[in-house]
Amino acid sequence: MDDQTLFETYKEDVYRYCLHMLRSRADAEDSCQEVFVKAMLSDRTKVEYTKAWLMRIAANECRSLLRRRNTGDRKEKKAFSIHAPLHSPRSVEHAYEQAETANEFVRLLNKLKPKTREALLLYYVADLSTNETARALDVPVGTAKSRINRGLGMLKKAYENMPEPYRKGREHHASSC
Amino acid sequence: MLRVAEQQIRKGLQALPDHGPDYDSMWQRIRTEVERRRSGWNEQVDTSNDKRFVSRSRQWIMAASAAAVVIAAGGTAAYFSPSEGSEPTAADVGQQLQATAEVDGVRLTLNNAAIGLQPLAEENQMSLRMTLNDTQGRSFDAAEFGEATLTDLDTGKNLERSGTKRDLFRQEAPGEDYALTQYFAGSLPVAGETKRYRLTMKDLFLNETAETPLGNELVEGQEYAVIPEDDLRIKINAYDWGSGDQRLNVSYEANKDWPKSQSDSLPSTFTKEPGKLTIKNGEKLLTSPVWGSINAEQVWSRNTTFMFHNVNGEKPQDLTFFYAYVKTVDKANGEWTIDFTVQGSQAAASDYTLSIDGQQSLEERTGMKLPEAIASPFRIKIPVIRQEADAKQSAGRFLFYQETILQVDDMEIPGLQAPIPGQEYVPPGIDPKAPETITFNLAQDSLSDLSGKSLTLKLRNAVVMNEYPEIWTSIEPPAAQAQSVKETMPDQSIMAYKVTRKGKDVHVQTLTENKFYLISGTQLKVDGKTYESDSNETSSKYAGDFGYRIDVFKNVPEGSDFSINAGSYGVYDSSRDLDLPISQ
Repeated sequence: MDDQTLFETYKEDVYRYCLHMLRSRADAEDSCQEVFVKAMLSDRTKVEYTKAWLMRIAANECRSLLRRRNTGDRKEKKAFSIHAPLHSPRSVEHAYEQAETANEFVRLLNKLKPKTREALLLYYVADLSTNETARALDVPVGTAKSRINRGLGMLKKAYENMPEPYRKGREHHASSC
Repeated sequence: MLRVAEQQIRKGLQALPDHGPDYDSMWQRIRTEVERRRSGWNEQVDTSNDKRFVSRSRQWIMAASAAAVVIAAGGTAAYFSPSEGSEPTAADVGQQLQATAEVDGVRLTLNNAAIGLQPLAEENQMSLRMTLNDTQGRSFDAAEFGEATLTDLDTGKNLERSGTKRDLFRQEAPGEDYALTQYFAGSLPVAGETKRYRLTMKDLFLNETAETPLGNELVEGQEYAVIPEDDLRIKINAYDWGSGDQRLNVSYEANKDWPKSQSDSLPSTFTKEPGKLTIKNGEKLLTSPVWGSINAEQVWSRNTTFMFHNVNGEKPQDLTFFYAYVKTVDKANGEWTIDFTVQGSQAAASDYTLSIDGQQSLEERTGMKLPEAIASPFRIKIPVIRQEADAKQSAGRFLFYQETILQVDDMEIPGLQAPIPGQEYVPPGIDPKAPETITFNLAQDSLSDLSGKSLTLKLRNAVVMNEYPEIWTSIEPPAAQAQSVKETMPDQSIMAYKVTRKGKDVHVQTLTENKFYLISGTQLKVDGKTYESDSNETSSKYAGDFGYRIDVFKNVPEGSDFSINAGSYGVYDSSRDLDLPISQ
């Protein structure tokens, strides 16, 4: 698979994963770009499962940025200069929440811890198998399954507890897509 | 209590918005960055022998020279004509200009301009071929201008770039000039029209790759001065051999901020390169991607992994470690300004046609014809002609080739076939209603001079549709507990069904191991009556060696005689692989 085909085939999976992990469009764009740059600079001849491999890079990239964002480590951020200037966690959350208020499902997802969220996004959004999700997260298969199930359970519960009008709106939105 | 099914959650997650990011811009930035990292310094592996690297830009140039080519100033059209036996050179491409500007002893020459359709769009772009000459004996590996603009002198407006956003001049072969081909779109002359432009290039940075030798082995915990002039030191945090001494993982941290490229005022992409560890294995230079990580103490490390492939499996002995980084060694400040005129009528007449041999074999295997290849300066397009009857869904029908490759001597350029009839997926930028075409991007993908070269269209892994409407696999009446049944089809594809009743519905999951994929989906027969699945409920996943599709049959009555048919499915057929010579 050549570079452009790689990008065209997987850009949406990678970007959506980054967006909903990082909750910032700017950071998601930067991370998505970095994922593909790393992928294109790598020797892919021995990569057997391209998508899982790519999503693993994405998962690592997002984790790195989340760590940096959480610690506010300006020094290293400046040193690597990989990403566009970061906002404080509060401003990132705020901007994202403003943009996503209309989507109740996003709000449910955001209530989950990053570890649970990343497992759900890989499994349901990026459409990886449980084995591939485990590989992408570098955790045992059992752990990946457990995170997926836990996240699924939490989402179900949150969804059930959601006021009826929101639920209907959500269902309508989902079915229209 | 509301019953929330996994399916609802799945749908909700899959419907998460992404707000339509600008993927085209993203792709441009990625390409630029990849090119920068490759070309700046970290892909210097065997550059003298690595045809793919050395010739990437040259390949395009030569392709354009073979494809285009119109020499304007004197009014002589030098069209591609191998029979003449003269190999066009870079200087022959498009309209000859040969205009120069000089600042601080560095002469910039605008060699020529060519106009043609963009690789994947029906919009023209103009390439400008430039070279740097007479650099006053300065020593550098690559040169980059800080800013470049092309202005339409009639309107005063700047043209948009349709290629890379950077202006990096590289030497295509030892002893040759440093050259750059830059692409612009927008205000271009049409046939019979003449346009005046001003090319302005500002501030030239001359860069070199610097290497600091670090010895034959790194020692964990030890500190190394890697950029002495900046007092940058790295401490080796991990130095581990694995995979039978064929894999080396190195992790290291710096004593201070990682250095940015010293050409800080260059137009920024989205990253700067801080340099990295490299290894020489004997004479061979090894480089590897680097990624960052942070430990519990919030200390950043950089990590890299080198792979070795010793046939005897022994640990490599002849290693030398280096820290390699880009260093701006000189700078020439000022503006290089060149005014020039492009005549559209000459540049526009740049397409030509090549015939593709072996049509009979192709038609026998696929029912498809690829009669000719239309070449222009930046792309080759091959129209796909299919028989009308082939559009019917019939068993054994050829759908498409998974891989299409244009081979030019020993180089391979991947193609893009789209839109494919019957396939839902259409790549971005392709009009779903456009005629089916195979396109090879000459501007981006590698291509050598076509003149005198062997050209072959390679078609690999045909995807063929199979269906066996007479094969029904009997199953027990579905229950809440899943039942598994297998059926080996005449083509040896194994359908592994898992059937479950969920209330009034029946779910049929078909495992494929990704050796084939279901097209129409399964059918369910109950006491002689056939049921079709609900397409809105269908889900599938084809990834790696794992693939399945779940068909949901709504409101299926209880019954006694149940059976399943696989429907139509696509299998890969390498026996239809073809190599079709292209005649020049």
